[in-house]
Amino acid sequence: MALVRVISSDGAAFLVSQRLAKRSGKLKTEIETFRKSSDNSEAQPEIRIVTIRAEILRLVLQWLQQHQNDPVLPANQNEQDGRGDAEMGQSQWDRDFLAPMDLGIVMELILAANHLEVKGLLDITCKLVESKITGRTVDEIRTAFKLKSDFKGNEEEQTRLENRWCVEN
Amino acid sequence: MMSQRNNEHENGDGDAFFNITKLPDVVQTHLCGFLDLSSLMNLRLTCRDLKNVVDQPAILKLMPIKITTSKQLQRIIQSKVHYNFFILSFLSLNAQSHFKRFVVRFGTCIRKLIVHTLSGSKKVMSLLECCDQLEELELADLDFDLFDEPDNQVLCERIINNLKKLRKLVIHSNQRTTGYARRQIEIFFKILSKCTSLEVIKIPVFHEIPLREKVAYEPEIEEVNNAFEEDWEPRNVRAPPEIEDHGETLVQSVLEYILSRDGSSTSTCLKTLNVATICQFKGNTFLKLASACHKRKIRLADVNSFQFVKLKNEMALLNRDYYKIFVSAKLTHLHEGFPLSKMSNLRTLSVESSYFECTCISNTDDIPLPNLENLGVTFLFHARDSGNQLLIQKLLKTTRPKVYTLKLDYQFKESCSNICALDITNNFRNLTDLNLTEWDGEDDNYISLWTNLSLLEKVTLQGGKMTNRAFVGDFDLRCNENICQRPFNRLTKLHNVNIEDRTGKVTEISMLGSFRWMKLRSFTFRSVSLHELSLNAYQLMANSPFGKSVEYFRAPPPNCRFSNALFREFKNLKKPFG
Repeated sequence: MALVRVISSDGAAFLVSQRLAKRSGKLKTEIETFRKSSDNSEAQPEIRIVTIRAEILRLVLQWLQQHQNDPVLPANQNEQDGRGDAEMGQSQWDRDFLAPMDLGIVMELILAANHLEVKGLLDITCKLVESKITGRTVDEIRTAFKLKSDFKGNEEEQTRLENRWCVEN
Repeated sequence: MMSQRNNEHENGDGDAFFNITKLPDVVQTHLCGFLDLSSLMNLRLTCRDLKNVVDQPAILKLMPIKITTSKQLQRIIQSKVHYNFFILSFLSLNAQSHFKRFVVRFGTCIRKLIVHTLSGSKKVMSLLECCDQLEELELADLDFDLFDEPDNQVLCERIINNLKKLRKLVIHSNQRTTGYARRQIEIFFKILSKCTSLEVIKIPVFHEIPLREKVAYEPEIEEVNNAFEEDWEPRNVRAPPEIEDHGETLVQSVLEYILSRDGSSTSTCLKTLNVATICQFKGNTFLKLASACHKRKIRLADVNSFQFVKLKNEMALLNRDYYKIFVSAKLTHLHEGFPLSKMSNLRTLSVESSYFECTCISNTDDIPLPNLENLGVTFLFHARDSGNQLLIQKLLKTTRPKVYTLKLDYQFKESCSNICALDITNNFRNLTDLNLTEWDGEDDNYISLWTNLSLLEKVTLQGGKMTNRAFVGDFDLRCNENICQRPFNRLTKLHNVNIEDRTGKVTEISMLGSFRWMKLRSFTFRSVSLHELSLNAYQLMANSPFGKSVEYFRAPPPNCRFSNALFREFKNLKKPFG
């Protein structure tokens, strides 16, 4: 089985099958590029991801492992056919996977999914964030996301006035 | 996939947190796409950064803004966001100044506008006068005045200028809409005739109700109990007096609009006239409409079928060069309405059939389908769910040397592939266009077709039991020799191939082994099992006769990011890939 070594920003190496790695658009491109530039077809590609730390990379690879038999979603499916995985409903595994994560980890996971071009993971993490916003009051959202109101003067009141037309609809 | 702007690990005080504003723009848009309007409005109130995130045009573009009350109108005016899709629904305006401010505030942003009964206002045209970005306009229940001053040429000129980008117009009218003035409709269509980018006109319910000149009258208001409410509107208004019938109709306006187009390059954008339901058409109105659309090469879509029945006695008026009809109708009605044998110039008859229509085919022996080919017309044969194989087999058993197009849309429970393949190869030898959908033929049957129908120029295969062998026969796919002896490669005139593999048995190697040697102009390939093709496959296709000839190419995407550079290798590609 052809393998690829994926190295995180903090130096941790993960040895995964190329088939699995190719579920990520970014890794797939890197592997193809390596193949083109390398004379030795048997050589093992090594890909360094300088923006993703080991803990997050491990989670991404874990998710890919679980979903390795899913069809690959095109990057622009969203615009064409509505939401991808997130709309189709998350599996129980996905829910269990995301359940213990705090929002900081989810944020990093979203960035990693975006960077590595893993659309299914991006969808379910965005959907998780959506569930933390929908149905909550402004204060609850601020608490959940540790936000502080930085509106000055009557700016907040002005924004509230702008919203009235739709909130009361 | 998506660009990354910032991927810093936020752990300033050791406690990681989620900050939407730190996400790349494209991810922000993706995330906000999951939220409903109310949640987005709440997000705007949390902090300035998130307000700016929500106010991005890309996010606001996603949702229509529906305004039904003056209060909402007043409040939306105060918004600093540039919304561009509005639905003004049953809006009753007492304060005209609000509407004026709305027009000034949003006129230049609106791209899509739906107006449902703007009662109390005569300002639709004043809105259009300011909407210079409008792409789609829908007017429902045209029971309001379009113009204050229909003869105001300056206003008309301004609207003409502004509607240059209008691509789609929808007009909902009903039998009650007799209140608007004929003159106004005339001017409206005159304006439309100058809208050079208009591609679709949709009139869901199209009827021949006279447009009548509106006579000024003072309505008597009997109750004023709710006059203090802001959205109050008068009720129990006395009916307008009898008004004179000028005989002008919406149909005539549409006809004039279509026929006034002189065929020059600037007036050929209209492609579709969608009239879902035609009712109360008198005399030969439908025939005139069909002829007008035919003359201007406009697709007349979604016509209800019984119109054809009424055409029976009016075919003498039919234009002699009527060669193409695109309609949706029951074939039985079409037969009753159109004396096909008299239409000597008819070349294409395209009938979109469904379950019931096909039942009609199977149960009605007197449909003159066998006569069609004597006129040299296209022969479209939908057999789906017919439940009567014998009739279809009977039709296929007649020798039809003048039939050039055959469409077999199958879903038979019983196998009939052997009989059909034999009949087609024996009786339809001059076919140039073959379309097989859900046919239960096996590879040998397909090979038999390719071997005998040497004139084929266009092949469409959807579903069915085909595998790689249907295209390459018993040759080794990896071997490039004897290409011309492979059954599918013998079709030297073939230029258009469309394959939809629903069983997942046609593989990438079949594309490499067979199609890349063919000089095709159009190639479409879909497969349930192949979601992407290898870079190697695309490179081989590009560096082969296929890559030099193909103009339209649609297939699973390449699994690499260099698709733009790759597709430049296809020298004649006219349409973007995918």
